[in-house]
Amino acid sequence: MDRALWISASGMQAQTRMTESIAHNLANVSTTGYKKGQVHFQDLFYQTMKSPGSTNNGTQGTAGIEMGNGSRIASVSKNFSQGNMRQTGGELNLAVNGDGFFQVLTPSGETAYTRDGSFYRDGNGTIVTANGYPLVGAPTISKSATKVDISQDGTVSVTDNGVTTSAGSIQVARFPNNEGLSPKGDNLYMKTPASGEPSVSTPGQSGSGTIRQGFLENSNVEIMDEMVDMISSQRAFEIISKSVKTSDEMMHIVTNLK
Amino acid sequence: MNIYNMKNTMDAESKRQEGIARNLSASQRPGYKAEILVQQSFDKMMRGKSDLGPAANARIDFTQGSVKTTGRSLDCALQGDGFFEVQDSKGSIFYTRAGDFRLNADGNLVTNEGHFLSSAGGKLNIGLTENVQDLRIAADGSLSIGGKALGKIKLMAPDEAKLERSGDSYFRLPPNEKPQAARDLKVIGGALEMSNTTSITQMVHMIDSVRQFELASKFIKNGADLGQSEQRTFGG
Repeated sequence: MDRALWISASGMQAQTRMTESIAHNLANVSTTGYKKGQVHFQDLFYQTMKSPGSTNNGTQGTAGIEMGNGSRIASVSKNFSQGNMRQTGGELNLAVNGDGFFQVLTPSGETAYTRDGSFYRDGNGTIVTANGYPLVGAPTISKSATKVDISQDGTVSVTDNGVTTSAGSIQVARFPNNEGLSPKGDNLYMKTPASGEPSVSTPGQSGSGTIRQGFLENSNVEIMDEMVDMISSQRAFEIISKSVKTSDEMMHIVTNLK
Repeated sequence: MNIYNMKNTMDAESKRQEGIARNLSASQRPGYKAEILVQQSFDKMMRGKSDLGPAANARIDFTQGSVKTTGRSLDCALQGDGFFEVQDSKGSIFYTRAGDFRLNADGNLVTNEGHFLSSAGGKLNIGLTENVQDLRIAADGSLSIGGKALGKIKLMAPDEAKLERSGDSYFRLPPNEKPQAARDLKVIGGALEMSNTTSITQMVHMIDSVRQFELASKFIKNGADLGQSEQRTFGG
């Protein structure tokens, strides 16, 4: 019975974590380029109470009694499905339509990867993210430039004094295994051995998505899906709590035997 | 009837309660198969025909769980009779229907516990050069990315009656048993087979179990009271 309590507790903890993950997803329902988290469960150790095939007055137990200790959350992985495109008209609002990440340079000199294409021009004319991390491959834009055009293949053209010049190109990085990327917050991801090495290419080539100027990629959180998950998680929590109550009731019966 | 039989009933019911707690805790787990604690009938115990050994035996309910579409490229659900074969780092073989696989740093498909998914020739390795987002899983378990074949998931149909539980969603065969290859089994990519427990059944079991438990406790109490009155009457 004690064990029933712990098993139930682990189940309730797992459901709490699941609800937290849902809350996090819902909180980011309008975060540009956010990818929803998905909870994965893991087995807890099993304990053999009576080994399978052990004899019991000459009859052999077929199954044995193996007692597990409940469930727990193994990991929260990211779902990298495409979010909807939202037209903003912003000159430096970019979205990758298809697979691939923008590459930005973190202050430590590492390359981080993001799907959040809301970029800005900083005081020096560098194209940076909201955090000020420069976009790799983007040119420095002079202050007098009146227009920046970014084509679907990432070519940046700058119009200055009525003269349009091609000034560089933005490339996108694809990973063999997006789920292996490690989320660093602020919509940034870092590569890991499990993600594999990035292959950097011109947008639209070798399977990568194209760049859309004037669009942003919405979060891929679907409110309906999250609501359904939330309801089922809440109900599961509730019914496991009944199991706690029942075990308590049984212990109460035992203490009242004498 | 003696109070030790009743004690066995109470032991068995508390084990059954644990099983129910486990079934409920795992109700959101892909591939979880409910456990049922089969016990001797109360009636049989009353008539004193039961032995004093463990009164319960755990059985596994292998019925198909509901299939949930996830859209994730590495999720596979099974429809029909059979299992995925996985092996742990020591080479022990387990069978599971939990299909939420992941790709590890070596390009092997692994479960959340890190067990390797098997192909016909050992660990299933799809490498880390192609983009998994484009993975296609055929109904027979063949994997391909952009038309390039990347191996085939091994699908086995071990005798369910002989399988032993080895985790929430892992089962193993006794060493001398050999599994058959699955014949009537379909792999569905982008979906997961969820747990096969239903809250209604578990709730009913829970109520039933606690009442049986209570009843047995009443008999023990009565038995003890009876003993006491005998002592008073005959003990002087």
